[in-house]
Amino acid sequence: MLFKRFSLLVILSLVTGCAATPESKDYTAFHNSDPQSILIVPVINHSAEVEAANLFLTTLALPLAERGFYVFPTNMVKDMIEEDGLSDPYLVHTADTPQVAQLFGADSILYVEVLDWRSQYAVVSSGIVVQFLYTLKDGRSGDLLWQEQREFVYQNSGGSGNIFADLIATAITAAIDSSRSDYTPVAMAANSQALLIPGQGIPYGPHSPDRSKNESEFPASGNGKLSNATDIAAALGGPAPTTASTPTSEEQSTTSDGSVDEANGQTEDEDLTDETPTEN
Amino acid sequence: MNRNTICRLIFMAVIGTVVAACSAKTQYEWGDYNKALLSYYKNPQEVAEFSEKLRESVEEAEGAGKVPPGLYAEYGYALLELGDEQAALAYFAKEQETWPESAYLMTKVISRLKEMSSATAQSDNAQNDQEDL
Repeated sequence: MLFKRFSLLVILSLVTGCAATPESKDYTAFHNSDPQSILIVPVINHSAEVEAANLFLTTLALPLAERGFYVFPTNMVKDMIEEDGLSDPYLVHTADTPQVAQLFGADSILYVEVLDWRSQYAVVSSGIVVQFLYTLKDGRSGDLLWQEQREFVYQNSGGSGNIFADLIATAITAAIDSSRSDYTPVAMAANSQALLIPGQGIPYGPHSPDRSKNESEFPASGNGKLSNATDIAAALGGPAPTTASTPTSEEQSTTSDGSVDEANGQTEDEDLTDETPTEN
Repeated sequence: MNRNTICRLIFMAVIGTVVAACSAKTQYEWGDYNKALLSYYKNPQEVAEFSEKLRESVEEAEGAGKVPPGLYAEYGYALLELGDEQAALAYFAKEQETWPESAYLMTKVISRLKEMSSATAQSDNAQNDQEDL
């Protein structure tokens, strides 16, 4: 009896989990571009957590390579970009995409921004609030291929009532507590939710054994939108981080080519607000 | 088979699927690659430690026959930072052999390195600081 109830609960939460999934994104541009390789450039940090950018950068290669793409060596790329005079991530994000991609022979570039990363203390529970913006652009045309903005709240204590969320939260909390300042599990969890969800994440790459699932999980059609973002990515003309050093006016006035603007237009330009989306 | 057993089986199957989905096996053997990166970014002066950790990751990955993309080049680049050009060249070449997608970058880096070392050999002038790969 107990098992029956429990299994019902499990199935129910799976069903609600699936029902809550929004409409599939438009993967037409992604499938047309069909990138074989992804260049991950240094992360922009808008939060007050100074280590968030580097920490996040170290967690990106794994999920993308496992997704089936050739991913350029993280540190080698970071170093070469810095030696090229682009040590401020904002400069890389606003530089002409095809030009940067050409330096490395990359099919696509992934730009990540940490929008928020802070500890939240409440009476019953405390946790970490994180918000990320992922932007993938074509290395040849500079067009937007995929974009995702997500906010997560990780609770340290107290339950949300959703056994799966709680299980994940507990596992993450345990992992964080054991090594104090290492928030890698939070970044990893954020990555999996942003990159791997069918209809929302990044399709399987050429090296993935699951590539044949693209047709069903990442159909070209979808809702006609490439992005669910409410913030504008720096790579699409968004604002510079206030925490980092501001670039010179000369660099700021350098706008990317027309194709970028075009891509930006596809990301619900009119709906852009400063509101932070709240999930859950 | 009573009802309870059936429920138990269904439950196990569901949990099994969930667990499998959550902890899916990785295609590649990563070792402590991202830990190595993170501690290097916290202590940027520790290039030797970073290189050593990458060497261990490469060894582990080769042992498992599942070397992830970028790892050979990453190790090669750390070796280059330490001044071991010959070893660096070998690992850049390995990256290129393993991953055709890296060919453009690896060819570029390898030829620059060779140019630089031949330039240094020809003129012993200290003017060999063109680390602009």
